[in-house]
Parts: sequence; structure tokens; C-alpha cells
Amino acid sequence: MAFIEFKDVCKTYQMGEVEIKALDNINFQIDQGEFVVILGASGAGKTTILNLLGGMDTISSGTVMVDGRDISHSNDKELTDYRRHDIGFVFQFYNLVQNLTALENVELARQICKNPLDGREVLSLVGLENRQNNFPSQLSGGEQQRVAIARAVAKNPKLLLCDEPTGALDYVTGKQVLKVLQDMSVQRKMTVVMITHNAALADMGQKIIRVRSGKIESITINPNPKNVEDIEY
Amino acid sequence: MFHKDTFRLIRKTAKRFVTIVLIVLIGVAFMVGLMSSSPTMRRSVDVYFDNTNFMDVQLFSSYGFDNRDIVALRKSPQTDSVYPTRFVDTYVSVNDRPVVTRVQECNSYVNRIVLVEGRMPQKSGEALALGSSSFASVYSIGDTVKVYLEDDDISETLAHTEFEIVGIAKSPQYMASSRETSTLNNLTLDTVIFVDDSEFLTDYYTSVYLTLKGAAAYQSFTQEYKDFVSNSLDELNSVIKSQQTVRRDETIEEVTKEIEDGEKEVEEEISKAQKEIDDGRQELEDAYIQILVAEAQIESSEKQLAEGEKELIAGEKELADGEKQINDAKKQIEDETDMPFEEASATIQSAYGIYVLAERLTSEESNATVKENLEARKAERDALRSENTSLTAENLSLTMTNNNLTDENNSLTAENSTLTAENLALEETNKQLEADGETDRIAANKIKIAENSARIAENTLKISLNQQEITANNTKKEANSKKMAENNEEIDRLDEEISSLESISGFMGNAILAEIPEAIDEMFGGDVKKAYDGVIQLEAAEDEINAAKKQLESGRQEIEAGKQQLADAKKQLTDGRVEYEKGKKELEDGQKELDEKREEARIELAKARQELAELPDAEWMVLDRDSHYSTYMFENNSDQMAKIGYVFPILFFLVAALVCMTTMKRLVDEERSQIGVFSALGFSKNKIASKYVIYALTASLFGSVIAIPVGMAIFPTVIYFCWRLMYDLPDMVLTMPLYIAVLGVCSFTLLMIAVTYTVAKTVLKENPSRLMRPKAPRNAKKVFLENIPFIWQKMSFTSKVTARNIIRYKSRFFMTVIGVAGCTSLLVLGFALKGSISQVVSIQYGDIVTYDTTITLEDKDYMQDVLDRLDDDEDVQLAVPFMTYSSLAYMDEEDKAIQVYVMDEKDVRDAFDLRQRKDHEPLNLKKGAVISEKFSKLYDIAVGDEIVIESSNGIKKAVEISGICEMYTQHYLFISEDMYQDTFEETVAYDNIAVTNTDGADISSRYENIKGVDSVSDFTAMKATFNNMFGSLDIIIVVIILAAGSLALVVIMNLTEVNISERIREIATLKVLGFNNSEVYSYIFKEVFVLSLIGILVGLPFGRLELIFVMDIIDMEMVMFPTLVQPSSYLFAFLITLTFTVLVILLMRKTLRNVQMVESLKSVE
Repeated sequence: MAFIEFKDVCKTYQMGEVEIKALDNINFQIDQGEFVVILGASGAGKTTILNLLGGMDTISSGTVMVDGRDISHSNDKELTDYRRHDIGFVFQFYNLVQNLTALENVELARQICKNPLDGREVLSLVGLENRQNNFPSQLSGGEQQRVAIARAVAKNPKLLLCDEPTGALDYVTGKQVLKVLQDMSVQRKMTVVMITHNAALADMGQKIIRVRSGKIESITINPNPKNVEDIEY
Repeated sequence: MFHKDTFRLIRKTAKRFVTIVLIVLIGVAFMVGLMSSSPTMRRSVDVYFDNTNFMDVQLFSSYGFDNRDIVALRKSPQTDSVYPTRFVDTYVSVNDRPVVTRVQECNSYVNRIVLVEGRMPQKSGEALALGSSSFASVYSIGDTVKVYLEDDDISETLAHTEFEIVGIAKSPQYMASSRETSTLNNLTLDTVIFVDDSEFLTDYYTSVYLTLKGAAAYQSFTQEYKDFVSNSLDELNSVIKSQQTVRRDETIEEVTKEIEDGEKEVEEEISKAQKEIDDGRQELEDAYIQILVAEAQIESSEKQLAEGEKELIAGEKELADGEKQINDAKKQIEDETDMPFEEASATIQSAYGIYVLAERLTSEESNATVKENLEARKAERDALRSENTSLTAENLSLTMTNNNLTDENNSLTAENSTLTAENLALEETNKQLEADGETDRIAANKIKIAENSARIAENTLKISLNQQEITANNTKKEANSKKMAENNEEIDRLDEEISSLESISGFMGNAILAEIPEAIDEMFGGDVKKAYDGVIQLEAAEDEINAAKKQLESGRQEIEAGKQQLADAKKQLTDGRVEYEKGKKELEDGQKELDEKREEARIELAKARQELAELPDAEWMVLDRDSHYSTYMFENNSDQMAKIGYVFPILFFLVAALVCMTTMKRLVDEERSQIGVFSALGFSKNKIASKYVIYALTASLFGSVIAIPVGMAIFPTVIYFCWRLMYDLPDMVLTMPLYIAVLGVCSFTLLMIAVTYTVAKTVLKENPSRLMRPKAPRNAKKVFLENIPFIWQKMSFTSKVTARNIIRYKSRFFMTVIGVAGCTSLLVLGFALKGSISQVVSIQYGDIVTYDTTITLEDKDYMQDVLDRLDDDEDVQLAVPFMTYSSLAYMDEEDKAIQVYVMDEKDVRDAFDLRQRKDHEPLNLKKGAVISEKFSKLYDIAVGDEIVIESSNGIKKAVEISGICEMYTQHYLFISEDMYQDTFEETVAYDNIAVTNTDGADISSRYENIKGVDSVSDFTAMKATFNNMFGSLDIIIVVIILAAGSLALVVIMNLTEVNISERIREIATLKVLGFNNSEVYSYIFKEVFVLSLIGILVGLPFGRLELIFVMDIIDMEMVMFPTLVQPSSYLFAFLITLTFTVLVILLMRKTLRNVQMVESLKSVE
């Protein structure tokens, strides 16, 4: 059985009198330890998928199973638990707590987990061992995103969800960040789901799910994912 | 189009809009409400005053007022109504306690009384009691009130001394629950009863109420009104002045007349007394002359008496001689006759008789005479006898004649009877005949009757004549009989003479007879005649002597009586003299006394004249409303209210500014990119700013418009209600001067606009391109706590975030701290106000004044007795004598009254705990006097200064101040007995005792009636009065708590709201990270909580400052309010604010729960 399974998932938003179908009968599966890239244009529904996957939103119909657990029918408390222990989230805009240093941001996440990784180690893992006492405002965008990744990883989650992690970053730093994510997947066998609109990044995924207008366009299995260093975009 | 956006913004940010509306609402409502409380109070009373035609001025005069004064006042153009009235302060015994009750005329025109209950007095002896719906009257309807005075007789002033209460009325004169001092011994007036004018017997008025022409146009209590009154009074002054003099002159005239009358009276009395004395003197002198005359008389009487005595003695001697001669003669006779004198005398006399008879019988001549006489007598007798015989015969014939006449009369009478009977029969016959008509016979009969009648008449005449004759005959008979009786008597006498003459004639011619005289002569010494004459003479002499003896005897008796009389007279004279001396002395004393009295009267009258000459003008007291007790009190209190009304809104103003600032700043920050767009589109900066200004303006106006009715509805009503506990206020007339509304609306609106404009301007300073980019997050700063790793490392991340946030957002920090501090301080103030005022009672009468009861003695001499008694009383712990009196303290600017307590230096601590307020350092009286703190503050007196005070007898001396003690009511000066005596050189007359009771004991009733105790007062009643007076503060405190609470709610709510909206992303992120709700709450609310806590901690001391400030405003001359805040006040303020914070936090949890996690995915704006 797959680690993650979307089965006939629909999501509709009521915007006034207009009903928008964000997701229309989505079905896919992700295995444990896979690096999955969800690719789609703006408004295609990829973020909605991520939200549902992250327990941040509820579906209108269908089922979402993660690690044998039906998160589509969980209550708030169960969802919070799910997020707390099973999910690591990397935001497009880092979403660091401005008033906490790099290390403290990591520690913040750690303190709510059952068996977190060591904060300093995770920071050195993302190459920020020297910046751990800096506030986010003292860090560059890439550095901030790496802190964010460190924060997500430190929780030692089953699933790492990344929302356009390089969206706010330049090419070089973007690559650095992607490298970290890839390393996490490869070295730590972490299941990583990354959404992006950048098709160039698709090559680094083991499975590429293309989304368009709320529907799955295609699901491609890439037996030989490219190294980040080899990707040009 | 642009402004459409503004209103959309309002709809979008409704919560924030409402926040601003609310804070403006609270601020303006509070400001408008508080500020218009004082005008409302004043306006309501002004209307009441107008309705009751309340006086502008009240006049009192040292002489009272008479009608001339009233006329003069009425004539003056300034006065409108001039209403003379009378009142008298009396006692009424209620439950054995004297209640000072003013008996006053029912006023129908000025100071009109308003009947609350019952009816107006309709007949004399009925009265109204002062009371209202707010204050119960002392007397109820149906009570009988008996008034009395202690010294005077009230019945001279009032027609009744007992009044039946028939109604309850209120009067604008007695608005305040506390009242002025009465005219009785400075006692406070307790209540008033209103009676009909006719109850007053005095012919002068006690007081005059004036209303001034034109004054009604001004509102009471305004400066315009006061100026007007003062100007009018200036003009009226001439009338007052002249009337004062007129009264004096009139009084002088009256009194001069009185004095003159008095002089006259005295003069009359004195002259009367003098006359009495003079009369007495005259009488005395007359008496003296009488005494002198009597003395002379007595003297001459004595002389006469002596002569008489002498004569008497001579007489006696003569008598004795005579007696002796007689006795000699008798002796001679006895010797000669050899018989006792009486026998001899009788013998001689009878012998001499025989001698004479014999001599006569022997003489011829005498014989013939005898014969002749005998014959004559016999003839005489015979004549008489024959006369008698003829007389007898005559009488016999007369008797016979009479008998005949009588017979004749009898027959005539019988005839007459027959005739009369015949006539009657004839008449009878005639009647019958008449019936028969036999006239002839009738006529015949009539003739017969006439004949008979004539016959009867004739007979009757005859009878009468006969009767006369009989009478004449009888008279003659009687005369004859009388003559016969006389004759018989003469006959008898003649018979006797005849028989004697016959016996003598028998002896005649007897020879022996011729020898008898010779024999007798021989027997008696030859001449019996001589012997006979001697004896007769001797007897006559003896008789004479006896008579003389008798005379002498009575003379002697007379002399003895005279002597006795003389002695009595002498005694009387002596008594008279003594009396005279006494009288003289009395008279002299009387004169002396009279002289003294005269002098006295003269001096007294001179004094009266002198006094009169020095008589001052009548002193008129012109009291305007500022001098009217309840009006003045009310004005002062409404003034204090006004000051509080001006001060408190400042706090709200400040908080409102901060709330507005944070809210608008957040709003502008959120609109940042949009501002950038507008800016880029070419809108001017002011145009863009106007969007936010309009936003703020709309909110402010909205809030203000609601605030004005809300504020007006709540605050003045509640405050008015509170004041009603202290004043008998009329129905409330809500008043809000326009300026208050304008000020309230404008101040807040302008503030909002200014704050918003400033906030918008700072943002607009940046250029549009930068505005369109997200605002660079502010640099986080390390807080000082991080330098203390020990603490910092132990802190959770939320705590760290909280700590850093607090430092980071300064305006939010200040808004919250000031807002919450304001709320807390208001609460502290509210509780402390109540606490502070109740502390006046508890500290003053619990800690400082440690005794419970004061016993005032009538005189110091009773001190030891009462102290002994107290010593034996189990309920008494301590009893300390002291002396107290009110003295003036003479200071540079003014002289102020201070209560002086003189006690033994050691005794003080048994009655007072004299200590410094701040450090409770005890003070003693060793080095000088101690004064109370309030007095020292008011008149800037420090330790070491000297102030001049009076002794109990009024001697002024300086004393040095050695301490300033904590004391909350009255002004005190404590001085030790020794120092008092050294300073004033007077001994201390202790007449008071401070008694400390055993807990809970009430000894006052025990000592009230014992000898020498004037009064007993304990502080229980005083405490009750104080507590009652300040009870009204509870409502004020409720108002304060409500205001503070609403302030706190808005501030904390706003803070939380801003906090959440600002960090909505962070919250979403945390939620995504898997923080559960309580963790998210704590992340956000920790900050709110900590800020509130800081606010509270700052607010606590601020509350104290506010208290000091408020106390300064409501400063009372005689009371020092403790500005010490009790821990409980802090605690309550703390807890209540904290409760509000928690309440807000609980309310805001929902907002936090509703934060969507997708927010975290949005780009930074």
C-alpha cells in the first residue's frame, strides 16, 4: 500500500455565488521515501493539494490517506497532531518567526515533537552552523529558507512538504536550497513533496505529478532523477 | 470613487472601526457626562430657586427690622421682593435629647416652601416639619412638638409652645442635609418647623429676604449673577447705611426716653422717700416737743403733788388738833356728867326737849294760841266735812239724772229699731206691691217710711244729746269725788293736829310744869340750854372733822394715784425717749441709704446715657447666596464636581489617542501597498491621507454622536442621584452647555484626525516603489534578559517571542500600558477614595484618638469625684483629665481658630497617639506644642516655628511647635500642662475627661446624670455621621469601576486585535507547524497578559497619584484625607483589571481559532 493515497479527491470553494472547483477528482499515490514534484501553473490546484496533504484544509469529497491514516475525515485535533508529528512544511516565503534567531526558530519546532533531531546538527546540515544565532532579518533569503527547511526537518517528520521553496530565491540560492531538500530525501530517506511551477525542477523528482485546472494531467515516474547540480533553469 | 474605497475599508475593517468608535464613545461620554454633571446640578437648583422665588440676599440686623426698614427697602429701586420674616431657634426634646429646632414662618412668597405631604396649617398651633422624599423629617405628621428654651421663656415670642405637625414641606433654604449653626450656643441646627405668621408675638422681624430686580434673568452660581448681585448691593448700600443710622437714632430716641422716664421715676421715688423721711423727722421732732412738754408737766405735777402732800399733812395736823379739842370737850362733858359722852349727849338732848316743852306749856300766850288753833282747826274740819256732804249729794243727783237719760236713750234706741224694722217691712211690701201695681199703697207706705225715718233721725239726735249730758255729768261727778278725797285727807291731818292740840291743852295750867325747867337747869350746871348747845356743837364739830378726815383720805388717795400716774408718765417718757433715739437713728440710716441709692441711680443712669451715646449703628448683615449655608455648600460641591469633570477625561483622551494611533497605524500598514499604488497613480499625499482621516473622522463623529446622549443619560443621572443623598435636590434638569458638547466632540475628533494624519504622513514619506514592496520586517533586538543566560535559557520560545515583541512594538506597548494603567489607576482611585474617607473615621477615631468618650464637667471642682468614680468602674480602662478650648492662632495673614488641648505630658499617650504620619514616629510634648498636620500645611508652619495662641482666659503668648502630628479632622494644638503654665502663667483648670472604655462598653448613660457632669459624648455617633455622609461614594465607585472596566475592555481588545492581525501569518505558520490551540493562545496572549500586567503595575502607583490629586481638589478646610491607599484597594484594582484582561483573552480565543492556515502561504504584502 502506498504511503500517500489521493482517491477521488474534490475540493470546491464557494466564492460568493460562484462555485470554484479547485480540485476535480484527483487520484494519485506516493510511496515512502519518494521525492515527488507536483508541477502546475499558477492556479492549477497544486497548492490546494499541498494544503490537503498538510492537513491545513479539508476536502469536499474523496479520501486522502497518509501512512494508512485517513486525514480527510480527521477532526481538528487529529489534524493538529498529524501536522505536529508527521509533517514538515517549507513555505515559499520561509515564514520564520522574526523575533527568534535561526536556532530558536528550529528549536521552536522541535519543542513540540516527540523525537526531534538536534537543532544545531540540523542547522549545520543545511550549512548554517555559523548563523544559528542570527535573526531572520539578518539572513539572506536562501539562508532564511534553509533555516525554514532546518525547522521542518528538525521535527523529524514522515513527510516534508515544500511550497515553491525557491519561488522567492535567485538561481544560485535556489539551487542551494534544492540541494538541501534532495540531500534530505536521499540521505535521510524522507518522503518529500515539492510543488513548483518551474518545469525545469521536475527532473529532480522521482515522481512528477502534473496538474492543470484542478485535474491531474499526468503522473510520470522518473527512475533516474537528476542531481540538483545538473539542473539548469 | 476614491472615497468609495474609504467606506469599503470601513466595512472591511469593521472591528477596528468599532474600536475607534467605542473609545471615542467612552471618552466623549465620560467627558460630556462628567463635565455636564456640575451644570446639571446647578441648573436643576437654579430652576428650583426660580420656582420657589429663592432670595438673592438675606438681611439680618443687630436690632431686628421694623416696618420702616421694610418700607425703606421696598422703596429702593434695586429690590424686587422684600419679605420680612421671623424665626426663633428652640429646643425640642425628642427621646430625651434636645433637638435644635428652628420655628420659622411659612413662607408664601420668597423662599416658598413646597408641601411634600399632608396639608398646610389651617389653625393656630399647627406646623409643618422640614423633610422631603430624600430626607426623612425629624417629626412625622400627627406628632406634637413642644418647643422650649433653656434660659428664656419662649411664650414671650410664640403664641404656642406646642405644635401639631400636619404636613411635611421642603424649603430651598435648607437643601443641604447638614445645616448651619443655630442661634443657640453655637449648636448646629437640626431641623425646622414652619408655622403661621400669627404664631409670632414679637413686633420686629428677625430677618428680611430680598430678591433683586433683574437677578432672576441670570442663572444662579454664574459669575454674571454674582457680579449683578454685587453691583445691586453696592447701590443698595446707601439705603442700608442710612437705615442702620436711622435705626440707631430711633433706638437712641426710644432709649433716651426710657432713661428719662427712668430718671423721673427714680427722682419721684427718691423724693417720695425723702418726704417720708422728712415727715418722719417732723413727727419725731413733734414727739420730742411732746416729750419736753410732758417732762414739764410731770415736773409741775410733782410740785403740785408735793404741795398737796404738804397741805394734807397740815390738814391732818389741824384735824388732829380739832379732834383733840373735841375729845377734851367730850371729856369735860363726861367728867361733868359722869357718863360716857354718847349717853350724856342723849340725856342732855332729851332733857332739853322736856325743858322746852315745859316752858312752852307754862306760858299764857301759848295756851291761848293752842286754844285758838284748836278751835280754828275744828272749824276748818267741819267746813270740809259739810262740803263733802254736799258734794256727795250732788253726785247722787247726777247719777240719778244719768240713769234717767240712759233709760231714755234705751227706749229711743228700741223705738228706732222698731221703726227700722217697720221700714224694711214696708219696703218689702212695696216691692210686692210694685209687682201688684198697687201704687197708692206704695205711696202711703213710702210716706210712712219717710215719717219713720224722720222719727229715727229725731230719736238719734236725742240720744246723742242725752249721751253728751251723761258724759258731762260723769265729769262733774269725778271732779266732785276728787275734791272729796282731798278734803278727807285734810280732815285726817286736821284730826291729828286737833288731837295733839287737845292733848297739849290737857296739860295746860299744871303747876308741876312750872318747876320742871328750873330742875332741869339745875341738873345740868344751871343752864341746860348751854349744855345742849355745847353737845350739839360738839357733835357738829365731830361730824365736820370726820368729813375733813374723809376729805383728807381721798386727797391722800388722789396724791398716791397722782404719784403712780407720774411714775407711769415718767416711764413712758423714758420709753419715748428711747424710741425717739431709735427713730432718729433709723431716720439717719434711712437718709444715708437714700443718699447712697440716689448716687447709685445717678451713676447707673449716667452709665446708661454713656452707653447710649456710644451705641453703634445697627449692624446689618447682608448675606448673599454665597453666604447662605446650603447654597454655598452646594456651590462648592458642584465646583469640586466640575473640577473632577475636567480632570478625568484627560486620561481617556490620552488612551483614546494611543488606541487610535495603534489602530490607524496597523490599518495604514496593511494598506501599504495600496497606498503605494495610489501614490504611483498620482494621487496627492494629502488626498491619500484623507482616506484615513475620513475613516477616523467618521468613527469619531459616530462615537461622539452616540456618546452625547449616552454620557448625558448615565453620568449626570448617577452623580445627581449621589448628591441627592447629601442635598434635598429638586427634580433633575439635564443641562449640557453647548460648549461641553462642542468641546467633547471636537477634542476627540481633532485628536483622532491629528493622530491619523500623522500616522498616514509617516507612511507616505516613503516613495511609492518602496511602498509597493513588502515592508522590511523590523530588526529584532536582543532584550536585556538575554544577557542573563540563566533566565533566558529557561524561558520557552513563546516567552522569548513575547519578551522581544514587547520591546519591539513601542506604541503598542505604551497604548496598552497607559490604557490598562489608566483603568487600574481609576479603580485604585475609586476604592482608595472610599477607603481613604472611611479611614478618616477609622484612623482618626481608632488609632489617633484612642479614647472613646469625653466627659465634660460643669466645673473643675468635680474632677476628683468623677475621676474616683471612673476609677471604680470596671468598664473604664483609662481616664485622663484634660482642658480644651478654641483659640485663635495669630498668623501673618489671617487668624485661624484652632482647638487647644492641654494635658499632662504623660497623660497624653492615654488619650491620643500623637505620631508623625509618614514614619509613625511618636511625638511628645516635652519641648513644645504639637499641631495637626493639616493646620501646618495650610498655614505653612514647620517644627521650630512659633505661633501665637491664646490661653483659656484670652492671654496671647507665643508657643514653639515641636511636632506635627497625624490628624484628619479639625485643627489641634496639644500643649503640656507645664508648658501651658510656664507660658501663660495660669493654672490649668481641667474640666474634661477622656475615657477609654473596655471594648464594647458604653458608659455614657452611666455618667450623664451624675453630679457635676455637664455632658457625655462618645464618638460612636460621630463615626456614624461620617460613614453616612460618605456612603454616597459607593455609587461613584460603581461609576468609576464601570468606566474603568469599559476602558480596559476596549484597550485590551484593541491590543489583542492588532496583535493578531499583525501576526496572522505567524499564527498560521505555527498552526501549520502543528501547534495546538492552547499553544497558539499562549503564544499570543502571553504578550497581552504581560502587557496588561505591566499596565496594572504602573497603574497602581498612578492611582495613588490620582487620589492625591482628587483629594487636593476636594480639599476641605477642616478635614485631611489620608492619601494612603490601603492594600485592599490595590488588590481589588489589580484583580478587577486582571479579570478584564482574562475576559478579553477568553473572548479573543475564537478569533485566534478562526485564523486560517492558508494565510501562511500568502505572500508578504
